[in-house]
Formats: sequence, structure tokens, C-alpha cells
Amino acid sequence: MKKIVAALSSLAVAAAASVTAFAAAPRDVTRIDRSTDPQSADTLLSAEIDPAYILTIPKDVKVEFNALKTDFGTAELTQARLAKGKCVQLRVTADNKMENQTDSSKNLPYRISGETDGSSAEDISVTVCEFTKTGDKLGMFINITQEDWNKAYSGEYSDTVTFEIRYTGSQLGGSIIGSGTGGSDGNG
Amino acid sequence: MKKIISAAAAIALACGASITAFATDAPVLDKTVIKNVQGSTDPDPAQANTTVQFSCDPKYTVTIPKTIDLSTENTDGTFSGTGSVEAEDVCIGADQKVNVKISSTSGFTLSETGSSATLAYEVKNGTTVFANNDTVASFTNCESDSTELTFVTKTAPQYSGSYTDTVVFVISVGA
Repeated sequence: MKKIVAALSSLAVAAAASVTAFAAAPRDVTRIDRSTDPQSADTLLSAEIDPAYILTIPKDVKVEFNALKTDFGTAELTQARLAKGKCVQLRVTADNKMENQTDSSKNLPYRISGETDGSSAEDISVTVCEFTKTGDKLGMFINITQEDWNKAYSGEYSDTVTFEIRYTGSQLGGSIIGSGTGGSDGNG
Repeated sequence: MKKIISAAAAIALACGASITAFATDAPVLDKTVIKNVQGSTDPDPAQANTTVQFSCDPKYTVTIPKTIDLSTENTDGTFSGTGSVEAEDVCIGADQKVNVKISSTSGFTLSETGSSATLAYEVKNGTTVFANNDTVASFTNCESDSTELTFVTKTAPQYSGSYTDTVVFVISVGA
């Protein structure tokens, strides 16, 4: 008897239990019927476009003996969707001398020059370079004078070139190579 | 004896109990009565006419989205978004439609907030591309119906930013 009463009580509790029902989210709409005045409605269109870019830079390069100008490769903005007035800024930092691997007191001076359509720079380590649109590219070259080659000791020489990239406001207004307004200390 | 008295008292109590009775509305009779007296009918001939009538005031409800977000980036770099123009409880003349036109003072051009960047877009339904002030949806008598519109930029955006534009949907009834 107790079991029957317990079972019936459980069924009664279960039947009386409430279940939460969530109403569908209200739609943000304008309803127009015959009595609506005016018979029109505005719709706001919006698009949030995030900035994005891909800048490719060269990797290692081998300089041949006595080569006065060696192609270092190209820095290129292969994809770009920047805010208007913004740019991808490239700063090249280098010691401008390759060190002898066995005797660090021996070094071979060099200079990185830059060339692009319509402009060039003898030493891009002291200029600001800006890329603003897809396809902007900067050709770079390792320049060593014959005099420096003549003075160089034998051995393996190397140096590391650092490329710093920033998304920032444009200073050059469309030109890729600046005119010595920058510097490897990050100012400009 | 006691039982007999108790039973009788219970019956008497039950008989005296009152029950509320609700009266029904008296029917209004609007009819023709045909009588047949001694072989003759009144009216003669024995027939009656009944007028069947129905009236429906024109009505409709059109629903327009307040905002549409072009948040989908497509494989070709364009951005798009969709919105539906819906109609329900449409009751209008036989040869009429509820027409919905779209217009944009910018000529379907999104403008970037804070800069002069702009982004042209199209309004489409399937493969149909609408021009400014075109009718984008038409509804005949129906319980409910809808037309989905796609808003898509014509090109991949050159500049990033927050772009907006306002379009106006105008409803009218006509052919």
C-alpha cells in the first residue's frame, strides 16, 4: 500500500512539474499596415571590414666575391586591406658590416639600397619605407665597394638584417621610400 | 425512524437548492416565411430570395528589417548580408499587389565612418540585380509570403573600416 501511494505521489509531482519555455528572440523589424503613415521604413546597412595585410620579405642571400651589387630580394605587400591613411611601414636595421666568422675584428662594410617604381634610396636603413596597397614592392640590393673588397681578409662573413613591420599612419602619402625621415632607432 | 427523517430532510434540502441558469440570447429572425393555407401559398409562387454577401476591407502587414549586416566575407573578397521583406494577411483587390520599392540616396554606396572611403554594393534576389527605386517584392492575396534580398559589395574592399548606408523601403498597392 505504501509503495502504491508513493508511486501515485511521484506521478502527481511529475505531472505538476513545470518546464521553462523560452520565447523566440524578438526580431528587430518595422511593421507596416494600411494605417501606417508613412508607408515606408528605413533599413540601416552596415559592414565592419577589419584591416589585413601580407608583407613578404626576403630570406638569406649569398654575396659573391667582388660583387658590387647583389640582389637581396623584394619586400612586397601581396595582400592589403588597410584603413585609409594607414600603411604597413617597413624599417630595415643592419650593422652595415659583415663580420668575419673566425675573427670578429675583421669586417666587410656593405650598404642596403632600395629601388621601387620611380624612386630609390642609397641606404634604406636610414629611411622610412611604407606600403599602402596590394602590389607595392621594394627591391633591395647589397652594395659593397671595390675598395672594401680589396681590403677584405679571406674567410666567411655574415650579418643579420632585421625587418621591423608596423601598421601605422602613413607619413609619405603614397610614396614607398621616404627621404631620410626615419631611422633604425624606431623614430619617425 | 431517524434514518427515514434524515433521508427526507436531505431530499428536501436538495429540492430547495437553487442553480443559476444563464439565459441564451433570443435569436433575431430575419427570414421569409412561406405559408400554405388551404392549397394556396403566401407568397405565390412559393419562393424566397436570400442575399449572400461578404465584405473585406483591404488589409496587409509588411515587415521590413531595421538593420542588415554585411558580415559574410565571400571567397572573392566581397562582403554580403541578407534580409527578408515579409507580408502577411494580405487581402486586396483581385488585380492588385502590395509592391515594395527600395531606394538609396547614395545610389547603393556604403560610406566609411571617419574617412572618405566608399564601397559600392548591389541589391539582389537570386540572380536578379535591382536598380535604385526598383520594386524588389510584390505580394498578392496571401496568408504569408516573403522575399529574401541579398546585399553584396561589388568589389573586395580596398580599405578597412566601418561602412554604413541607409535604404528606404516604400510600400504601395497597385497593379
